[in-house]
Amino acid sequence: MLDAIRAEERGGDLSYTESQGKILFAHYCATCHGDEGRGDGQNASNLNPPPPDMSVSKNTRDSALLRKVIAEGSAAIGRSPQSPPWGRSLSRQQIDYLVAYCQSLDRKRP
Amino acid sequence: MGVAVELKSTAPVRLHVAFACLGLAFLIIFSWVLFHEETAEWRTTQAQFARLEGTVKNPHQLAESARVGGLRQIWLPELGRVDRCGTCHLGIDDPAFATAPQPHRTHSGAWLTTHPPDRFGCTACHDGEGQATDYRNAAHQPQPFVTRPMRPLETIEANCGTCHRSIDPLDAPRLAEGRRLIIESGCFSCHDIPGFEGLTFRGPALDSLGYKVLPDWLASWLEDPKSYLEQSKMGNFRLSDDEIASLQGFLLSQRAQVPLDSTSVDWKRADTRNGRALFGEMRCVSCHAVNGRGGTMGPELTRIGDKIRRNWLFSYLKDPHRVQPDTPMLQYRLNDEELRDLTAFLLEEYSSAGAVAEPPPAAYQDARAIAAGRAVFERRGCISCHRLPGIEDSGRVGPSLAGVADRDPDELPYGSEIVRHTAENYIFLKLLMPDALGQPSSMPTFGFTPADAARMTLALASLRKADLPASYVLKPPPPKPYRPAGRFGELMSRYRCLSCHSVGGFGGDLSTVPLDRIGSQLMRDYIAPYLLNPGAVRVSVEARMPVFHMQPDEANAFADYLSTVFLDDSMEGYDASFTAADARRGQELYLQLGCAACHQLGTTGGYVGPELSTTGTRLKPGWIAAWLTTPSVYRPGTLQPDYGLSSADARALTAYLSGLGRSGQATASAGGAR
Repeated sequence: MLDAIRAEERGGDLSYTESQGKILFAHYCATCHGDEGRGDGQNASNLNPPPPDMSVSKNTRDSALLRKVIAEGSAAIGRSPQSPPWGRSLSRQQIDYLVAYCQSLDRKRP
Repeated sequence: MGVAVELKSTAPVRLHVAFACLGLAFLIIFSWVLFHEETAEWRTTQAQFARLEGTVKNPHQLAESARVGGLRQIWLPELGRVDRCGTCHLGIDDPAFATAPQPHRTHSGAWLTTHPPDRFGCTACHDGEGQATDYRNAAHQPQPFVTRPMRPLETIEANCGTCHRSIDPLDAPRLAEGRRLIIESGCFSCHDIPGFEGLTFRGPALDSLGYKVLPDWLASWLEDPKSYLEQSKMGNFRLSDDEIASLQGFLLSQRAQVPLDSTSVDWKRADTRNGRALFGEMRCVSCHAVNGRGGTMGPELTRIGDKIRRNWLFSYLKDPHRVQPDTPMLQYRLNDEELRDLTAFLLEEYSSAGAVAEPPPAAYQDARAIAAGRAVFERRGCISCHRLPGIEDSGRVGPSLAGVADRDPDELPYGSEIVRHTAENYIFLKLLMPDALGQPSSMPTFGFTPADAARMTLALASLRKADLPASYVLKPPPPKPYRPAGRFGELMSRYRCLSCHSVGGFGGDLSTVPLDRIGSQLMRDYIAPYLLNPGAVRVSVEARMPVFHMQPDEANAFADYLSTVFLDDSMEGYDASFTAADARRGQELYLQLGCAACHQLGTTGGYVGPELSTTGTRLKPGWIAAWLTTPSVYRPGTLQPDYGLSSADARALTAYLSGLGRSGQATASAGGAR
């Protein structure tokens, strides 16, 4: 049974925490950032500057910075205000999950 | 030695020797116990922890966190648990150990705040043997004779479900998905499942099947529903050819309700192009999927031409509520020509063989075959999902699933599968292949994917035998049914508003807009024209409100009722006398906050949220301000971010948005409005 759940989560590549983050990411972030954080969401073409490719971005590795951007928005680190603050909508736990997923993005490259 | 031999015969000496041996044995046992106790795994762990604490903390912090050594346990008589996990996991509530190796590491996430250990212990969530004080006996890994070893995180949501009994508990997506699948599949029609009481599963009415379906289709459906429809909710009952033949005869003999008269319809003049246009305009795909795309509320239509008789479909589209009073399908206001075109389009377009000549409904007379079919119908519990007058619902045909997670794993069948014997593995296998576990089973094969079956297993694994004290159970009360009377009630029933919208949590969730305060959200003058010709407020959303072909007086009746009854006082009194400075400041904020990333205004902006160029004629200012201030209160999980706006900022933005589509300047920028 466990195998069936793991098999779905990208070939067992994602830990539980990361896959929790993936589900939240798909709901809150993927419209702009794309399902895999490559910056290719369906709304990406409307954004200037466009969302970054998180799987290669250095900022993704800094979990404190990542947490700040998610909670307070990209404007909080001096970028464009296009990525809004989620700190009041998401719990600390949910932001932890998102951080875990974002940090898993550069790990698996086909 | 000689002395000893000489004394051998005397009893007291023998006793001395016996006592000496006994004493020695006691000494050995005692020292072993002492040694064992002193070198116990948990003592070593605690010593390691003390050393680790010395490295991660400065002396000042160390002095503050003077810990009590020895065994630490949490006793929860209400839950019948004694958890000594804290004996080794000493750093669990101390953030200083966030990167320490296990067992010293801080507990991840915010779980200990939301689930304090002195109320929940450890094993309530993690399972395992709480009383053990070493790694192996605590069953961190599966152990022989331990029925509930510690859970890996991937299945831990099963334990969330023991207390959290709403359908979609927060942050337990697998459990929520499992419960949703149970509801969709209607498992509770055949099994008693605690937590799913009061739900009904609605299979199609069968009382006029003889007029509805083609005989060949029915036979192939009974043989294997998946052969017609991959996503069929009905399982494969593994019927024999004889059973299929008799059941087919019995079902086709059901002709209680004659379809509405369509003899005056001139099918030769049917215009399928008009039918296609109607199909698109009425947004049928919001509920019905074709070729893999579309909603799931109604049946798939991809091959409907292979299944349905023309007269029946015409009659159904004209008045679906006559055929199935509890259907979520609304009754469109179409004339006979439009109904004809739509029927012809559906049967021609969505058929694998093109238009086939329909055999006339045959009169089944073979009483013996019909009786045999009826017996099959009763025996296999078809009545659990399909109502049929004259056949009594004889209760649930499947066993109750209460406490299924605590069934003795060694008494359950696993067929030829080589799996660890656990109740969960049994449930999982049973869901996937009910007939192959070495026990006769009348449960149909539903053809779940392994991932779906795993999630349903998770949901069922939270059904424990012993019930919890009420103070631990979180279950929202079921929503109160909302059934308005009068003309509004009739209209609401005709157009089935509550299939998609909800009032007080009662109704569907296809629409993201509950009706509870719709009168305070929308301008009265916006509602009626919108109902007559609903456009897309959000361009990226696929499921849209259908074009009902509603009468203007009906639309006005809706608008009047909605804007009189569904009001929220806290928004109605909002002072909407804005100054030009307010609006200017709002426009600045609009740019500053990056609203354009998601909202279209004129020709620029994203298309995640609603298009805004006519906001002033659509939304009431009180609602705009309330929504911008605390969006998640009104729609949990919304993509509208909560910026923590001050009331002055919210007012400025409201002033700006309320002006859109009203003043000359705003209409100019609203060129692309629908």
